Amino acid sequence: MTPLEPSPPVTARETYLNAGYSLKSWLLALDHKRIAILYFVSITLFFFVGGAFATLVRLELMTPRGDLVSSDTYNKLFTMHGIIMIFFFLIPSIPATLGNFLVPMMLGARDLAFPRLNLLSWYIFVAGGVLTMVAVVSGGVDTGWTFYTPYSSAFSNTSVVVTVVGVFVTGFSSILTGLNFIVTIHTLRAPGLTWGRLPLFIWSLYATSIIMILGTPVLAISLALVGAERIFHVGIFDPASGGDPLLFQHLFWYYSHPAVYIMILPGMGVVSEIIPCFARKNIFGYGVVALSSLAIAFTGFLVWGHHMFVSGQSVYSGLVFSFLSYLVAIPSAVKVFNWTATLYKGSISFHTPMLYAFGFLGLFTMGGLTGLFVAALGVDVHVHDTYFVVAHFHYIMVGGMVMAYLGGVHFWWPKISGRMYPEWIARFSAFVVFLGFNLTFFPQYVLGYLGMPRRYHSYPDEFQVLNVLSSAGASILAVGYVLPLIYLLASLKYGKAAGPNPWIATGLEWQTPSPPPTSNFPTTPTVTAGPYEYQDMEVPFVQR
Amino acid sequence: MCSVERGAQLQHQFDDIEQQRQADTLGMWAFLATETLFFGGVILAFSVYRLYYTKGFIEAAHRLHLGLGAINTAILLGSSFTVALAVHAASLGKKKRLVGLLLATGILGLAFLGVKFCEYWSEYREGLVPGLRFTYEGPFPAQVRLFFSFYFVMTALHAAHMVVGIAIFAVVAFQAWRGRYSPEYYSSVEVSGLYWHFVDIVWVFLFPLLYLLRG
Amino acid sequence: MASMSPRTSTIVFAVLMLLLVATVGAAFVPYDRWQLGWAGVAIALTIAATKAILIARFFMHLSAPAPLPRLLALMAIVWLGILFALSWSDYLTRSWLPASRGWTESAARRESEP
Repeated sequence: MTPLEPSPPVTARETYLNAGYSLKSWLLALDHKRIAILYFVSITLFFFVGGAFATLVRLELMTPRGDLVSSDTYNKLFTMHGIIMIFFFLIPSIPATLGNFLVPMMLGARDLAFPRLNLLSWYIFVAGGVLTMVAVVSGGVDTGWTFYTPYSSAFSNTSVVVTVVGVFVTGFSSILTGLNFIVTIHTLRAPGLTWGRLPLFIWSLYATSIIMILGTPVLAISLALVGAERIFHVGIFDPASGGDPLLFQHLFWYYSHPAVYIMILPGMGVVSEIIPCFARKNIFGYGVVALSSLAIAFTGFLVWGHHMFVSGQSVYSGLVFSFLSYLVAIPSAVKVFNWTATLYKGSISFHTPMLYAFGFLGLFTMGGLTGLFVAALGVDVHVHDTYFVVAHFHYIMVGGMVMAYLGGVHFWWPKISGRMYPEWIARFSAFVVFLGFNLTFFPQYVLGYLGMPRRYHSYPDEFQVLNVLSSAGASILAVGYVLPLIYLLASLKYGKAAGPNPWIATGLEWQTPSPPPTSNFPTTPTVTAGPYEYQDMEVPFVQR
Repeated sequence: MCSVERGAQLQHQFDDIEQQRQADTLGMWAFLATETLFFGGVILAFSVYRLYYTKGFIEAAHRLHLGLGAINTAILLGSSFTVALAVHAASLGKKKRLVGLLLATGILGLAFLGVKFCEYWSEYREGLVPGLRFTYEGPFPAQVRLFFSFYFVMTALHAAHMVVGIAIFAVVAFQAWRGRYSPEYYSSVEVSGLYWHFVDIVWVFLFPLLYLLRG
Repeated sequence: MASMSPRTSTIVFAVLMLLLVATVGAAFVPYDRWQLGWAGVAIALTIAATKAILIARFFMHLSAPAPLPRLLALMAIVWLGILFALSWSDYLTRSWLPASRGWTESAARRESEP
């Protein structure tokens, strides 16, 4: 290994990074790429805060007795872990970072349709985050991220109102991002870039945006009603006053189930970009994969009652929701089959983005299959509110989504920063993540099946071994997440200059210098071919 | 790249003014879709309780001021009328008429809010405000309380949207007076008009749901 | 971009006001006397929907050539329909089984004792 010495500055030309160094030029930036960086920084911060809460949870769960924290404190820990990870990391993550950076570039545009709205959405995100952090430090929230009534609306003694206002505010950030993407994709495509030639990342963000704009408002109203009930004691969800607690759950899950598709669809889009590149092959079944994103967006809204099977909801309604939940699995499975078919007879190379994509393929599939288990009404009666469900959604969100996010960050890091990350350290780190992840969450499937309930800080002695394995895995996973933070930041100074297209990938974003200039393209490009014509390219194998 | 046409400004990400106008319109419609789901959520909640507490809700509806509600509906429909005329005036470049109609819309909006305030005030005096002053002693107390909770939440959310709309029209009227709009580009007028019409549509549904279902 | 003539706007406004008068008048019909409570609701909501369609089609130019606003409006209605249909599927069938009829029974009890 050569001794570390700072690389020469990437370039002397104008890029979006050196077009102004003042704080004001960043905080008042209208350039979508700068706003993406603002989001990168804030989202990374929230990820580690949410991770800190997870660390405390896993520490407590190493021993059967609830001895690290009181049960009230434990309730606050898992609540805040969930709220921060879902609303302040998973939902904005890929859309606000990679999406903001890449959507205009992939479309051959100079910026999003509404740059000022884009900046506003970041400020709204930060405001919501600050409010929620205020709630965290002023006593926390202990209702669970699901805010079930009447506990949240009448009985909890924690900072519920501040938290629901914080989440309400952040919801607008999501809505504005989705709105911006939809209008941009419709109106700012380059000449020749027909819908059938759009990168699948764009298709998945388009579908994500539809969910964002149609689902988030219902979350907003459900949280607003909880706030109103807490402040004015109106009794909308309070049985003592004639209210129905399940009404809150209907309104809440109407958003929160599609929300999981907001979280996973962008990750699927990233995987659809990475796999063709590192298999040097056109995606198998482009049209079907594109339409499957829209199918997920639609069917995802039909299944929310599967979170309420044992809540007192009508069993007949539960049957309908159970059946519909099987439907929503189909488009996801279609994608997995198509990615696999893309790999078949491809020239596969195992660079870090591809390692994360492989991790996604396996872990998302496992998480998705266990979703079918819980979608079955009869099975769910036994595993609802156990660690089986916790494992199911962590397989999808962490094993799927976070790995896709890391894969995407590595894939586009050269474009965003102009530097290459250190490949061997990054590959090692990907393995650490994969190992740590499985050690953390696979035991939880077993624990749940054996009956360990979620949201409990003490448990019967016989569950300790599996819990210790899980906590050990979590510590390894944490290392896997800290490593990229270190080496990616270090690469900004010590990384090799990347050049415009280190992966020899297709896509308009790779036709620009790395990092790109503020206006992206000197003249608007014209598109004459599909998005993954790897077979036409001279380079059969990605060298590095 | 940035062309200024009689005050209208083409933003750098758009190729021409027509593309910008289409984007503005599409963006507002996407926003109105979100608002539909927002109000739709609370209307769903209301509809569930109306099914189960029909008698109680009917009892409560009789305690609203139907006349004032009807007057407010007429005011709001009238304000949609003035907005439609304003958009037409903008398309012809008739600046004075445009400014006048926008101001008229704002004034009608303020009139609506004034009537609403009177209603709120009298409901407060009658002790019908859950959480602040609820002294109702008649039949179906829990249901009436629930009804009035919805009444205040729904109409307050609607009123908040109207306040925003009036503020927007004040800004747009000012820009119109300064000559910012032309027949080639008056997107801000159109788009604020869309928002206002939507707020009117929400009231068109709130009015019967709250005031007119009297058995 | 086509905008509505003042004549059309005036006609639409007049129709809207007529519908307002109609719906207020319809509210005074004593539906309960003939066990027709739901008719009252249906009439009021139908008139409201008619007004909404008039405002959308004329004032909001939903009949203009561009298809996307119509598509978005339709999607909003459909998604609202999903919210209502599936939520109501729960409420309307809760009383069919003992396990889930608790709240609906307590609601009925509240209604029967003023």
